Amino acid sequence: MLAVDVTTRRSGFELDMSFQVGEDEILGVVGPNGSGKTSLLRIVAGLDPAMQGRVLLDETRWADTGAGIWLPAERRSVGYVPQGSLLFPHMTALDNVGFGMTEPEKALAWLERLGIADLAGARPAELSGGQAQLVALARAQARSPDVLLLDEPLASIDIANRASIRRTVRRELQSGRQHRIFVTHDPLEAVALADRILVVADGRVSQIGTVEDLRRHPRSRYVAELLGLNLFAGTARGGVIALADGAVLVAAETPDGPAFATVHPRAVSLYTSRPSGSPRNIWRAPVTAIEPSLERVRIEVGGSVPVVAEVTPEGARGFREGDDVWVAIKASEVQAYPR
Amino acid sequence: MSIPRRLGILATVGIAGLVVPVVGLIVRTSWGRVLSDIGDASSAVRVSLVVSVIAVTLAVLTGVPIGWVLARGRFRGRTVLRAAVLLPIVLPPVVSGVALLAALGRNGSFGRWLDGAFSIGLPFTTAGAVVAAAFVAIPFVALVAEAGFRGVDAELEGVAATLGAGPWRRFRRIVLPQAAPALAAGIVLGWARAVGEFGATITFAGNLPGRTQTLPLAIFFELEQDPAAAFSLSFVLVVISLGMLLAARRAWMR
Amino acid sequence: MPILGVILAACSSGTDTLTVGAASSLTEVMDAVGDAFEGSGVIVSAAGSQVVAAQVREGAPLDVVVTADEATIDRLAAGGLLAGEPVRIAGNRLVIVVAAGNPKGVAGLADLVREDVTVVLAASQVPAGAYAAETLAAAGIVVSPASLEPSVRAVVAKVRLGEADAGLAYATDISADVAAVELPPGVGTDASYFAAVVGATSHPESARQFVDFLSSDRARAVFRTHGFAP
Repeated sequence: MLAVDVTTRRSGFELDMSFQVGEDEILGVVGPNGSGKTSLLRIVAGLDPAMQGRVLLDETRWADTGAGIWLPAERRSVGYVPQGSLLFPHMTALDNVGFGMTEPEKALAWLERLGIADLAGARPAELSGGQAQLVALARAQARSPDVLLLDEPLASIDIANRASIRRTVRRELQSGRQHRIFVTHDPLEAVALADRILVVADGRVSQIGTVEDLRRHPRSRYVAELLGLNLFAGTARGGVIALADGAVLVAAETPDGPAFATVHPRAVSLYTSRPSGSPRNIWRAPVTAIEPSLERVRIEVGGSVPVVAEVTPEGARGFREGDDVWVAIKASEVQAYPR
Repeated sequence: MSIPRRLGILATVGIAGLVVPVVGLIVRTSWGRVLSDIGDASSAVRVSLVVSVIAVTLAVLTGVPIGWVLARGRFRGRTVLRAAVLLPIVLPPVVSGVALLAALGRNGSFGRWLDGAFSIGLPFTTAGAVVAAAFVAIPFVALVAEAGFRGVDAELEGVAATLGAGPWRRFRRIVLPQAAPALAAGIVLGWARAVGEFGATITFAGNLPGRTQTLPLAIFFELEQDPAAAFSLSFVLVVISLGMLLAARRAWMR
Repeated sequence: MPILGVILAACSSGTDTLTVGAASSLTEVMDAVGDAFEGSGVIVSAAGSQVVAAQVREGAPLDVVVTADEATIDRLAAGGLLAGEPVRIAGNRLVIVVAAGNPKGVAGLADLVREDVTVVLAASQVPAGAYAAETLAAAGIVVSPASLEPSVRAVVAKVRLGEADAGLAYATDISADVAAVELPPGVGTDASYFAAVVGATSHPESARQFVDFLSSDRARAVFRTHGFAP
């Protein structure tokens, strides 16, 4: 078990996080750029000091500011794949992998394992972003570290090779018994690779849980947006959630007391005139934005209860920004849970 | 890319000003006697060689660590420290000599202690000439080494640390190989500076053939005794210096 | 420094300003003589005699040259670089220069060989160095100097700074912080200063007047007040 509980502060930036990663677990840290993801990895790796707190690997204290303990990176059993690979430019791929090994002659086996043995003699300048990433992964794994840290492992990979490299990275990530943390700004990547997801915002843990946990019960607008959900907060009683400024949302089922509610954008219907059917939630509000994508069109509706709808391109015809529309949501599509 | 005409004209004037004196020297050199003149100045050649090699060794041993501290150190007053360390580069050499006298002369604050504690007197000794040469060579090595070290991504050292490499191994295996061309250039430039040192040497170490009279000092005195010999020796120094510049450039650009 | 002097002199040598290259032991007295000269203005560029000679040889814009010995100026004359014969204008004598108070108790030339006495001399290319070598040889004394300085003033400076204990310099070089140990009569080669017009001068007329003035009674009086021998 890797237990992290650290606080640090740098000019205008504060980081305060507490979480644990089990052996055998892959934790995906997701958050916007500048939210402190890389800083977190560097503290765990021992490259930057934490101002306060502890980093424990099972019984071993890597850092414990209260006890004045701080192990430098070279004394932690950690593998670090930084963003952009950062291979040693004056060494071949093979020598990069062998650098940290007690038996460098076994370096080739690691390249073979990641399917890049043919690149053994190449210099980093001759490698593509994806190839460099695999070499960097082999280099970090060659020491069989207890903790593996990856910073945006798929960010610098050209689209053409993305799928195959992603496959290799995933296979490598999922094969060992290790505490693994990877950082990404891309929620899809996190969902695809992680066992659990830690959402970071402004240097804090916004939410942590399995993809299912997050999808079912997002606890912040940011998490909901990451997962593409509409999130509402209010006070629930007997199937009715009272939102801010007097609006209400009717759900099939609600807890009593403070509650969140999510609605999938595809469950939001839009009409140019008042619909006649059975939806329990109907209101009128102006369209604030229309964003076409490949299969669906996202339409943002303003008013006192802002909401996002996803409709087919055909369904989107007839709506224009600034026009008032009718919004309808079935009670059965409103998922409510305690705050 | 084409060069603006005004710049071209000014550059031409400047280049002429720089090249003409050297051409003049080459024209005045009597080729037939260069070798015999070097032979006659063998003691100055020997002193120059001994002094410059020891000085540049000292410069490497201290200048490279200084460059490292300036490149990677994170502490207050680094800018001031850099200025202080690099000062001898811009200081008139005679001022360096005066400063060395003031500090390390027999009546100098530090020299008095050296004399009292170890009976070491630097003025008028080969060691004094070495000190004078090192004083101007160290900053060159430090300056170029700093630039070389700055060119090495500090993040690479962090990665090396996560691979189990301690500070010394990181320096030796990651930083040094990448900074090597710059360091080589710094050593060559520092050596050239040590060989050419005149003002600080004559002020601090004096002029005694076989002990402190280096080639530049010999040239200075030879100009009266035997001007042709002074031209020969100057020509030799021009050739050596040019060679070192080209070598430094090759190392730098590699 | 001497080069800079020549450059400055060259820059300011207008219509009738004379530039005089003089031996370094004459630094102060030549200024005074120049002030006394009623013809042109006079700028003095002082350096070791051998440096001044080298400057003449390399075509520095000097109008008058004054050396501290006959040999140096004779070589210039032999090279056809002078206009007219060199004239002897003053004399000087060697003394042992020691720190004020003579802490090492140097009494004569014989003390210069002592282990505990650090001696500096002018280089043999400098007249004062040649005189010193001559004087020591005549006395049968073999000194191991710590340094052969580029001018007689540099010798005095090293003694004044305390880097050297003793040196041989001109009696007129003695100033604050140093003292002279006189040589017995008859010991020590006397120095003679010679002046001549530089052949390449652009002011031959006033240069000639100045050289004539240097051996006049008025100039001799100035030399005398500065401690020079006739």
